[in-house]
Amino acid sequence: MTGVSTGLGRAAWLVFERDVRLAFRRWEQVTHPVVFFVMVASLFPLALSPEPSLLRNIAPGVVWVAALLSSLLALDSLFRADLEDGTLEQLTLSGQPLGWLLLAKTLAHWCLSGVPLVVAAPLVAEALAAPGGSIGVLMASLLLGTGVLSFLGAVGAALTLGSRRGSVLLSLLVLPLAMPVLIFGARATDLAMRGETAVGPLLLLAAMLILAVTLSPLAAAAAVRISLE
Amino acid sequence: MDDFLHMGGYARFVWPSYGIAFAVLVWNVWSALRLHARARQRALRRIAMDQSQAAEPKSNQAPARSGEGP
Amino acid sequence: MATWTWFHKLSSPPHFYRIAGRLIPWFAVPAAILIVGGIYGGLVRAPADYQQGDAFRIVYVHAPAAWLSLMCYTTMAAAAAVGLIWRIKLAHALAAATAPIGASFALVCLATGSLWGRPMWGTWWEWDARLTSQLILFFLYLGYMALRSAFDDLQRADRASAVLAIVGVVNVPIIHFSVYWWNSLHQGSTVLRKGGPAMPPSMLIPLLMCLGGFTLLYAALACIRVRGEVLVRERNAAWLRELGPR
Repeated sequence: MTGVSTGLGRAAWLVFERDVRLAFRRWEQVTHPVVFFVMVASLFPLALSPEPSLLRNIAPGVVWVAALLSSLLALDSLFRADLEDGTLEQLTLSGQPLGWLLLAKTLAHWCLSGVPLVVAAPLVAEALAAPGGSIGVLMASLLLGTGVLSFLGAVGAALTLGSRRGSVLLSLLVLPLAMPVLIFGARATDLAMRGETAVGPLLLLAAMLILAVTLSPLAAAAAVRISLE
Repeated sequence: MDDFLHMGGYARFVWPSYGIAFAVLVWNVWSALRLHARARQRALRRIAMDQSQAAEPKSNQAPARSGEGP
Repeated sequence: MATWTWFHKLSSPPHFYRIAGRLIPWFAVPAAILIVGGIYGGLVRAPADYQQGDAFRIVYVHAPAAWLSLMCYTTMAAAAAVGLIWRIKLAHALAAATAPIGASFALVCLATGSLWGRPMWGTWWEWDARLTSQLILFFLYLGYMALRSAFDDLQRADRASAVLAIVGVVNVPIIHFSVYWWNSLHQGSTVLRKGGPAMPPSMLIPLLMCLGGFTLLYAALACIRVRGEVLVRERNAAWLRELGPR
């Protein structure tokens, strides 16, 4: 796939661009998680009550839980196709540092599954009677948070590659690790809703994102190797 | 003694707590011993099988391992 | 140098198997003495707390369980890391052995915490920082054990779960911090600790005895379990033939 003399940057870009290009052929990879996100968010008014005063209170939490669950579901598309057609093995054999290639893959995944959620979030928040002023913080927190979730999820997905119990096991592994993201993300939005500054939690999310981007590709690379051997 | 069992009115919280802790403790000991015992049994059975296989003369059998005896 | 060769010898399975076997009573007997003594001291000798009455006596099982669940997770992750990096099978065996012990005590911590909280808060469960943090730790244990059981090949199970354990242990401080931060925003949940002035020795000493006793108990249990795990991992090794009756 890549020649011996291909630089690391070029190889990473090729992986990124390929994943994005393939997603355009398979729109469901992008749209299904968003539809799921909207559906899950709608469950709460149905299950609880359509009272705006209630919905407003739970809006940050509901949006965030829906986003978290949707991210978990979207992780399936990170490695499955490449595992099945042998591309993943090619990546490990390519001679390029696997961590970097997986970083590129995960970045692509974040763009394809996380960013659409950020775009869809204002609609959902409106539907849940969230005040307009908090939507900006909500989107910011989701942008950072879905990034962390993609990178954390990449490790989980790599560990459960090709496992029969696939996505339930993946959820069991990733959910406890994702709880801090949920806490900070929902809290940031909640603070914004009450007119207070949300800088603290947002910075914490940013810090977690940096940590995830730097460490998760290493763990994911180790996990991919273990799963493929 | 009655006072002791009564635990100042909190008996139905204190004694189940100790009960659960004790039960888990016992489970841990039992489970660890069982794990070891079963692993031991399997290992010994495997050795016995290997030994009986080596004792049978087979042309395609690998040369007898060191220390092997009938 | 001598210590390094000793350590190196210890990482050889047959050597470890023998030594661990001999160490078990040295851990188990002091553990039993400390635990029995500590519980006796806590139940009988310690005075009732002036705020919580006799309910506080639950601490003598709750705190050691919490301590053990955390210590086990760290040990499990450290052993897994050693096993992954230096490819020492014994380290993987220790990680595998420690997980169910830690998970079971995390459960004890949650159950006793709930029972302790009921008379204090009036509800069977409160999302207080310590209990919630312990709950997430329990989930981490479950995930680890679930991942292990998803593999048929033991070696792959060892190595995959090692990656998970390392990722988990890096996250534990983050989870801890986030849960305490989250909880601090909601006033009202009392922390499960003996209120009032510092613990008098009559209360503290039994607690320390229990903490020490449970730790030694872990050591004894780990020896037994790791010996079992070693036997499973070393199935075809020649040294097994010298196993003998013990």
